Amino acid sequence: MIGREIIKQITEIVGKENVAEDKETRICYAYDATNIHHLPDLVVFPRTPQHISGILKLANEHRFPVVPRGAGTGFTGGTIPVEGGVVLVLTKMNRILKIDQENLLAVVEPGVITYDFQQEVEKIGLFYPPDPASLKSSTLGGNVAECAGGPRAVKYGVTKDYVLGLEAVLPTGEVISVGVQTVKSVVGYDLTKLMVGSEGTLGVITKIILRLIPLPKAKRTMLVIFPTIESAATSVSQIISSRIIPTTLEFMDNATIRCVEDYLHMGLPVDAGALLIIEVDGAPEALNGEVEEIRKICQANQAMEIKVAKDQQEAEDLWKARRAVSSAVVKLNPTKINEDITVPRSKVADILRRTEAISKKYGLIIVNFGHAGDGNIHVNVLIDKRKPGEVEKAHAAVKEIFQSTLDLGGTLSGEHGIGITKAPYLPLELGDMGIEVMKRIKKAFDPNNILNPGKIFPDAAKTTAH
Amino acid sequence: MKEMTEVQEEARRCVKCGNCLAQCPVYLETLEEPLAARGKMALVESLKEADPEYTKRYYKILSQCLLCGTCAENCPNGVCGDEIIREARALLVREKGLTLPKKAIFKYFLDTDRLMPLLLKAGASLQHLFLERIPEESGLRLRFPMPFIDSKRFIPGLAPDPFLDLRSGWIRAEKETMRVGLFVGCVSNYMFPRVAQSALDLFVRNGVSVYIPKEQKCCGLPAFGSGDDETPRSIARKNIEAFAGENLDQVIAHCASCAAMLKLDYPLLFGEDDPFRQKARAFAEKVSDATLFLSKVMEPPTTDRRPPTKPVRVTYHDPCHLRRKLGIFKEPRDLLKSTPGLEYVEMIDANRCCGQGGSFNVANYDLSLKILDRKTKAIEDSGAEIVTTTCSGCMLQLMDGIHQAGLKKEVRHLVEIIDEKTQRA
Repeated sequence: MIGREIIKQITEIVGKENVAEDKETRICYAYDATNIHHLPDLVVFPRTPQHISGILKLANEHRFPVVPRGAGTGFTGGTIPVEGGVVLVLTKMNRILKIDQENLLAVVEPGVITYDFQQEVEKIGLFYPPDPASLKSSTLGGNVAECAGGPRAVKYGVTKDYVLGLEAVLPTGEVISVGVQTVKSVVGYDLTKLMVGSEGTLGVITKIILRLIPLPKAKRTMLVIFPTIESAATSVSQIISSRIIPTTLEFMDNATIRCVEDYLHMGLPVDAGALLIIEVDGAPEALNGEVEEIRKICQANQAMEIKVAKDQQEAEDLWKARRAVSSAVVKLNPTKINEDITVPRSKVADILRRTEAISKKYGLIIVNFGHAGDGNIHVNVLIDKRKPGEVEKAHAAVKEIFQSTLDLGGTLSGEHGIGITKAPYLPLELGDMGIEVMKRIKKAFDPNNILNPGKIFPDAAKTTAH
Repeated sequence: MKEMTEVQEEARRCVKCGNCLAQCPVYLETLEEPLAARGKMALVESLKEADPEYTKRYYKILSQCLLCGTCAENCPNGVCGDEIIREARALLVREKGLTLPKKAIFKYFLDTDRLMPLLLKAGASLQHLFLERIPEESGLRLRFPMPFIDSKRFIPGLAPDPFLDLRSGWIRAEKETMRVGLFVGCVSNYMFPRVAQSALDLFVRNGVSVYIPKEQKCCGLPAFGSGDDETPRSIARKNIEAFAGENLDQVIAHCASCAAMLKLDYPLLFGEDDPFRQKARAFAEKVSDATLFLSKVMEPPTTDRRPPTKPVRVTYHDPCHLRRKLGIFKEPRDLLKSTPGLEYVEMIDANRCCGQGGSFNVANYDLSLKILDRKTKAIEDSGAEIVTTTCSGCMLQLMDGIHQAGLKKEVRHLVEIIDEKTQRA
């Protein structure tokens, strides 16, 4: 609990209009997209790095937790104040400070909404590719802190591939600039890369230098339906090995297809084993050849149906199925445990087979969809919390899925991070020494463990379901 | 009227994904979570059933919703945030006995006992008369409970005579193909009788006989949106009775908000065991929005016989109640596009809420203006000379925006323009 005196001091730092201590506001900053709730003691809307610095210095002095937060759309609880304290809401630091067309970079504050930024740079023919599903509400600061990915990662990579430098307030209150405004740089440890994806545990990001690339001139969209998961997976491998890197290679398994068809009635074959949405982009003259090549590969792999969009409207129609997935799957069961395991591209079919077996073993509904092109599969366990034993079964199933993922050379999280929900599983992937090194880094940055405590590390995390 | 447990059960279906943050007009102006549907769902969920903590702050947060339905439209889980918020307001009214704007305005912001005489002394007695002429139950009273507060606010004056004093009863078409009732609505009745007149003329010209019951009242929406279920229930009975007995094919409302209220909410006002429920349902069946109706009955426009003039450039603002509640957006545009003498241009984000939101505009006027600014800018950028819409609340709001921005643009009800441009020379 934060005392009167501290609240008074924080109010002096940021101004009365930027502090809220009423219970109603605190309730509204207790959760994120995990729907797990922990009430903070205070909500603060800092406007400058100095505000943040002042609060963090106080936090070290009086040992209270500080939790940075963007839009709160994360899937692993990174912004939940599990130990109470101050939630630092960064949504109001939302200026685009510079778009530098000569050096192809932009400087932004952390609260800028991802989609708004993309719209802004695309107006002048530039491109910021990372496209997490929440991009219309998520902030760039949050994207950097969680190293967000998205469908376009198969060709363009993820958030870390676009962060050149950062300004951040360290847990001890000093403001630090890391990284560069150049393409190349080897000067000491790469602190930028260390901060990206550190889930708000190493510093509060206050400025981001982002790399931009030219906006591709054209795009083609295809939807292909396959009889089996294997035929789809083989097609994906062959497309990549034929030296075509699609912008996106999204897939849905049979359970997902049935679910979406039930929801939209758009005429998807419910007996299909898998569906791929494939997009290629680049110079318009090159795209027809690529589309034809992909068509041939899919046909050779028993594709049941191949649709190629003729225009933007048709492309949108093809995407409808994929976009409806989230809405459609919750019709099966109210609670969705959404994991984002990632396996080497060539192991996609293997992991899906194993998930199917796990689904049968536990008698749970598991639907799989996601980014086949980079092996990032959204495994969704759909449960009804009201049924006794269902939550426990789901946890056991998730643990087996994680173990299978690691056995196949994969990783626990492609784009959601660890936060609190995946923390118990961290040793499976990192081992004791891996965790120990990370803890030493955390300690070097945050000796008093005041910044976003209770995250990532298994012994620190106390998960509480809502 | 739902019970607390029911409302909470619905709120709990929100999984807190945050999709609504991307669209909520109120959140986007403030970037504060309590303003978005997700925050409000969390608040409603958190209320203790036996002993709900209805604080001043809770009151304020609940008032900060436009009920525009944008969150519901974009919710992957199909959570109707707007309906849940309205129900939460109704629970509050039931517990505390005051409608939201009344409480918000009279209790929290102003001490009316002291303020009224002051204002009257200051020469604002004109507005006092304004209210005296409006019946107690009219939604206009909730729209302008204290018209003097915001000196910059634009409020159109009252018409010399309310529409219903001038026209009522049957107005027969020459070759009658249909018989409909016309629901006039408060804003048309007291402020813009010409809109109701236009609807009437258009219908009659197109072979539709029109019945206008003089006893019709306010639709009840402003009170309903504020969480008052009792007033609209009594009004609904009167309205339904007023249109009964003339064997009407349909009942047409030219105000989108009235249409949505009559069609969607009237049946819900009466419980399963209320004998009136069946009547309300049958009535709602017959209700139609004027643009949907016109698109079906209007003869294709004949070539304009008047001397050719430069077409007037018009744009259209989608009222939330028409677009999101009734799902009508194509018909009004088609009507404008097919009308001679008009050049239709689409404005940016035409379906974005204008920020009126009934009691929202009263309890949160500054916020309402910020949301309105984006709309006014879109209207300006469209290059249109006239902005049309079909909701009286939107009309008043757009007028306020255009007036404050000092733009030379007209705000007209869509049926008015169609009527004007399709009159035979």
